Amino acid sequence: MFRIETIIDLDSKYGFNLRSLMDDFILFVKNDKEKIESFFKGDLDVRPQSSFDILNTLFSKTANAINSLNNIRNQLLNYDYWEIFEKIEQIKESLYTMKNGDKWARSSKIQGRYTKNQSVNFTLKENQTIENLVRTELGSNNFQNDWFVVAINNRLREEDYDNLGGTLIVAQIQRSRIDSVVSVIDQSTIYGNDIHKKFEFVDSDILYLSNSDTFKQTCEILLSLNKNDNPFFPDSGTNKTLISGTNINSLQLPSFFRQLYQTFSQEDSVSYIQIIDFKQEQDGLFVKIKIVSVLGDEEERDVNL
Amino acid sequence: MPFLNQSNPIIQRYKRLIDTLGREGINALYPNEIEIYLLSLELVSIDSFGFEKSIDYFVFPVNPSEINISKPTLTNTKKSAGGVITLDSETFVPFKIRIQGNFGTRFRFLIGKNQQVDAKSIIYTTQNGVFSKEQMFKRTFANIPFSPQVKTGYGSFKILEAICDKSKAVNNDGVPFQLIFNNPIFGHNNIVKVKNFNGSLSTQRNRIHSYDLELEAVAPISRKERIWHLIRDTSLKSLGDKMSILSNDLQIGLNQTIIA
Repeated sequence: MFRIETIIDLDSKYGFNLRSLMDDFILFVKNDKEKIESFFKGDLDVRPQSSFDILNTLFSKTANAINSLNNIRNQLLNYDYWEIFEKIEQIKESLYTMKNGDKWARSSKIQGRYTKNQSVNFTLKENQTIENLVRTELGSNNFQNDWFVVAINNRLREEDYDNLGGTLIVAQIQRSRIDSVVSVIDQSTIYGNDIHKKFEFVDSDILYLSNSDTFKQTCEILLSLNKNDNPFFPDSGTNKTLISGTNINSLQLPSFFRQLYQTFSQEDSVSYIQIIDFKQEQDGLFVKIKIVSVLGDEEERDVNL
Repeated sequence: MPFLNQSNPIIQRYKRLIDTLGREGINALYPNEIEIYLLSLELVSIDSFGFEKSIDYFVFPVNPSEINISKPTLTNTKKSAGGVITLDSETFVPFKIRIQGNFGTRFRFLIGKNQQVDAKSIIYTTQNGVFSKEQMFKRTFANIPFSPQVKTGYGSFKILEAICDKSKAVNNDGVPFQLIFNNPIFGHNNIVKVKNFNGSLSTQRNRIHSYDLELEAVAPISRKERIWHLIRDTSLKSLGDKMSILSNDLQIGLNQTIIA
């Protein structure tokens, strides 16, 4: 725990406002944090502008304070100063997290509002009405009333669409909970961006993959994951000893498949997997697996058991 | 109705799969079309992360003499003044399974008994001499098995009894064990609860321990819950909670009295 005297000392000696910064932060957490969280989670329809203003001001004040402390760092020889510095850095970090809260909430953005549902683009077909779209594509039973929610969300006026079709409509479908990606969920961002498994630098940045390549790499990693490979979750993955070193009569395929399904069930971007075929080539046993993503993309892989 | 001849591509494909995978493999691939005459019970422990650890895996070395499944439809039908009302449900309806038989007297080789168990779960297994749920937590005396893989009819009977007994226990994380019944004879894989385990021996069938096992399927294994807990500390709520903790720390720090 830091000492209050150290803050008073810093404020008076160097003209900082660390005490008022901390007070402001406490007030922000008390009054505004909840509003911003609710907005990002989609519980609040109207953007709490004043809370965002306070967040931005507080963030720049904290950044300035850290810069100022950095400038006099050679004079801060006492351990007490370190504790203060650490607290100010923690404040900056948590404010930064709150600024990016939409990504941590894994919400989707539609017309300036956040929602827990997933936004999907539809194009109106010829002679298709919005009622029809709501009934057939979104599966609404109450389509005669629900269509105007879609129309309002898309800010459609009557003259914006006609029976020739072709109007782009952003509608929301319910999606399952997403944990494994930190992003605003919009179409393929549900796959996330992963670092290339061969770690390297390109153009003075770490090489990372696009959304669709991330999905392919995820499939590859999960298929080749053995038990105990992942030091954080050693039980994740399959146990290849169920297959290798045994003969046909004692192959424990049901157990192996169960482990495979369980491994894939941890990945939010995968909807389901299917085992398509088996083949034996010389002394190798290969299984062909189809992995279907939540967006309907398919990947087919041959796995050597 | 003509038979498919041997050069038919479907027959050829079936033969190729039989040669490479055997019947068990084909059954694992196409469980609703090709059956296999094999039954197994698997006792599974689930840790706090939701991962399964197999404890005992028992493939019946001799198939039972009789197996029955009874699937009630549980539709509630009522006659009302205007017509008939039926109440249906789209969720799983539990059903009963009854298995009767014996394992004979000879030594039998139990398949699938060696590779499954990991180091954390071995303290619960029959391989380690644990044959009852009381023994799982209070070990006073360990019976080292004569052989973990080769069992007499009586030995197989005891494993079956042990699995049924241990299925009612909870593990160290406080999560109940799950008993999975793989029944490719009928193409069912279910989580089951043991309703009744009957053992019998009579002078008419000397030295042959017979069992009569009543199970109730409570869920298909495909409907098990997904593992949500893997990345639990990165939700906006938990990050917001960390912010509140920091704010509390600061508040306590700022409210300190100044020591003159």
